[in-house]
Amino acid sequence: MDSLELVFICYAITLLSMSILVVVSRGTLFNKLKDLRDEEHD
Amino acid sequence: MYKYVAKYFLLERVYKFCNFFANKALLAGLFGFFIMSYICLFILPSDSVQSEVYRILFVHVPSAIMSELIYLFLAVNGFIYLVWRTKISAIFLNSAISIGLIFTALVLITGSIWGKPTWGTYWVWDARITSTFILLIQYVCLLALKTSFTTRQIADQIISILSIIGAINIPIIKFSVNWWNTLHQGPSITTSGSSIDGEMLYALPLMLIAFMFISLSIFLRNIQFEILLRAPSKKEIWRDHG
Repeated sequence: MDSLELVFICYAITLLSMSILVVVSRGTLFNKLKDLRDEEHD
Repeated sequence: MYKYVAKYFLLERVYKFCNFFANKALLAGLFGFFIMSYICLFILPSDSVQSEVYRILFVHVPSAIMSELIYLFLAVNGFIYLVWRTKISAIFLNSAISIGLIFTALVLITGSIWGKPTWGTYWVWDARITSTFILLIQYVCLLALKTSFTTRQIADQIISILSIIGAINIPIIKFSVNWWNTLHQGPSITTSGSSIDGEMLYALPLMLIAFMFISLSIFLRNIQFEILLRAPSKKEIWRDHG
């Protein structure tokens, strides 16, 4: 594997890990909101 | 003074603030990250010694700075929580742990990938790398402790105490390359100047700012989640907000 490929892998890992964190944080928040709204309707 | 500051940290106000800024911070951060990635990968010249692989610097160093800054942030909030028992400090503390964990993992992964072509190995147990690995374990422990207690108050106290004690590792990470003979290089940027050429150096703080905006967006969403966890009965907080 040449050095430029390693560089691209590092940038891809960085973007991927931050994207996962963004999706997880938003997902947990909106699931909680949904639960609270469902409880209110019940 | 305390009452003056406290009124800005009412949970409802904080929730609204987070809701307003979270998406904006994310857009700004992603925009900055893509622009800076393009500049770092395609515009900046290659290094005379390391050739192309030095470009890992622009994700490795900002991740390292973020991992250490976030831990210091945890320790400060832990201290404030233990002294003044402010609920918002515990919320800040709990919201930042996962972000610090990801950045510490990123430092180790990108550093390891960088180590192979430059040092000939992915991993060595030198002082800088080992102390950063300990930081990763500290973050994992804090994250595990968040959900390990029956009452939230006990969890907050334990996490606060551990984050304060664990902050001793931050100066160890910072000065490890000066105190011990390490394979990891010494600091490139010091008070007396920088060994990085100015043509490449400007990209480093800009990438750090992009990382900060993305982290802020995640942090704000985590704060909203923690507020909902702690005050689910306060319907006025969440009823009108997405």
